[in-house]
Amino acid sequence: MLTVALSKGRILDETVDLFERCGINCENIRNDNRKLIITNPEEGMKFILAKPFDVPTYVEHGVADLGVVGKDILLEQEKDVYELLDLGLGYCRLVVAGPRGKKGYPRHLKIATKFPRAAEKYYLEKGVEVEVIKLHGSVELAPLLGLSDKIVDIVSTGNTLRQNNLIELETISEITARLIANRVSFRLKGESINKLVEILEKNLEGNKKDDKNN
Amino acid sequence: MFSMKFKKPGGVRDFLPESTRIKRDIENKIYRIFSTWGYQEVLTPSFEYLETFLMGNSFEFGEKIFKFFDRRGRVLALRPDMTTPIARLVSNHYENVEFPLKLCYFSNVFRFEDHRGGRQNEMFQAGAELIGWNEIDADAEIITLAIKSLQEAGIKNFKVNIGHTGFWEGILKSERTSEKEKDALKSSLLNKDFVTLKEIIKNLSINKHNKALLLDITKLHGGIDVLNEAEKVSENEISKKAIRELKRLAEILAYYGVEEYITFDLGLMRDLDYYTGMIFEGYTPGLGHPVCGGGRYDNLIEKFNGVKPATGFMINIDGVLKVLERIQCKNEASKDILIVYNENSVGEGVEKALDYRNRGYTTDIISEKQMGKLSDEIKNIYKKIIRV
Repeated sequence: MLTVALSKGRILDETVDLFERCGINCENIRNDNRKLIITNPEEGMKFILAKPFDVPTYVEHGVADLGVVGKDILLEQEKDVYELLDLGLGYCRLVVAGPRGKKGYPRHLKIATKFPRAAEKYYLEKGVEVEVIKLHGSVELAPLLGLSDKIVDIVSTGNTLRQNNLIELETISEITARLIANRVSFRLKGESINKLVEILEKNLEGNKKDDKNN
Repeated sequence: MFSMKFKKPGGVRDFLPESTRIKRDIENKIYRIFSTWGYQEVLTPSFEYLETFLMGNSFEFGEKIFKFFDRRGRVLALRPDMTTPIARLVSNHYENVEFPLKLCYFSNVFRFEDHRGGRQNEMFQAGAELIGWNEIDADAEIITLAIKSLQEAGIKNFKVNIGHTGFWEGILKSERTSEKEKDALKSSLLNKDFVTLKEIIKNLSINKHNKALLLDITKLHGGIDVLNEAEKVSENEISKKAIRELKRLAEILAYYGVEEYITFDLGLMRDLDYYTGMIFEGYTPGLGHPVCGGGRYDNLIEKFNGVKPATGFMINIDGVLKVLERIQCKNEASKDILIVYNENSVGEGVEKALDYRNRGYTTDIISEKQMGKLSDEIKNIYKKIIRV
């Protein structure tokens, strides 16, 4: 039996689509949304529906063997999990954004973000000293109110930024959903995990080819 | 608000009698195995100079170490692992002693971990080091000892994965890769970040054969056939030598009769930097991280001016405890006799208690007055209650 932790929210539907394309029955995930544990004995799979930020924790402790989670969260948490596959879902970017018209770094740069570790690491590698302010959402507010100079945040369409007069300045990383594995499960349940990875890989490659043909 | 008195720093825990009893029991059993295999226990200080611990490990490892100052302002640190202090101990005390030297330890180690993620900052380990023997035979002894210890401690279902640092180092050394590229490769292999690994390998200027080999390194995982397969595809001498060693290892492990626990895994990496040959990790269901691990570290003692090959391993006692606690969660009756005395029979009671204790029975003694306060649950712990 493989236990898979899925991220609720934005990427759940896409994840379920992908799994179904691979022939894994996920009907009951769509149907009863309130249930947190969904067992699928015919497939030998159990699904856990978790908050995206908690998925790496379940996997690290081995209560879930596998997980599907955005790269943004992996960058932020640096958990001890194996990253097996880029699922190509939920594409977005982790970017630095700021008010229009301001250029260059002021001497003491303040950054508001939901991803403090990822932001700190990015600026450390650039050799720029920054003060990071952790917020839990609506990060765009910070530069508008003068709490910070810039923000580090996830952007997909850029609409929220535009509406708040912010522009994208630098791209830190491209974000897609990843398949992660617990390091012990990866060895003890290697066979069934590898099988799943192969099916997913084939399906993803097939998709890429379809894109090209279109 | 709670008073400071009740607060503990994060990442450390109390062991109540139930857990402590199981822990002591695990350690006693492992100790018996260690000593019948000829390993002698040593103790090293809980703290030493920070430099000692940084010897043989990466600079980043220093961030995980608890540090403080002595009176002259030198930096001291709580030991983050036991292998490094033992390497130091050997070079301090064993310059002209006949080898091999077999040492073991039961110690706590300290590392800054993200304790809110459920990890502990203080961890208990048992381990053994076999020093001065550079043949793979010594590694076979160490792996078998690890298996026997886990069995004896009560872990029934587990697997030991064996790899070799020489295999992938050979591939990297045969190509002109920069240190930076090597580090990036190592870290993505270590974290099994296959997505990054693929990208790095794609951009490396190495030959196609080695590219394919590195991409497939994690698929080289399984029984002895994996070694035959790896032998076929290895082109450089270092990788070939690693495979020859592992094959010989498999032979000896078969003599020890532990093949059923073994799998080979050429993509295996350990998170300490000092390993130079065979490496291994043990896994058991229900535990999210390895229950034991170790390997050969031929250069570590040399860094302390001793010139000795060495191999060893440690068992994660907290991990074993966690698994066993789940199996034997009920507190079994653990005391033999309760002696209850009244106002006039203290002397008789004490005498009886001493006598039973001398004969090896677990004995409590209590006054009639206190006895009235005991709950039935506590009374049931005793096999026998004697009134005098």
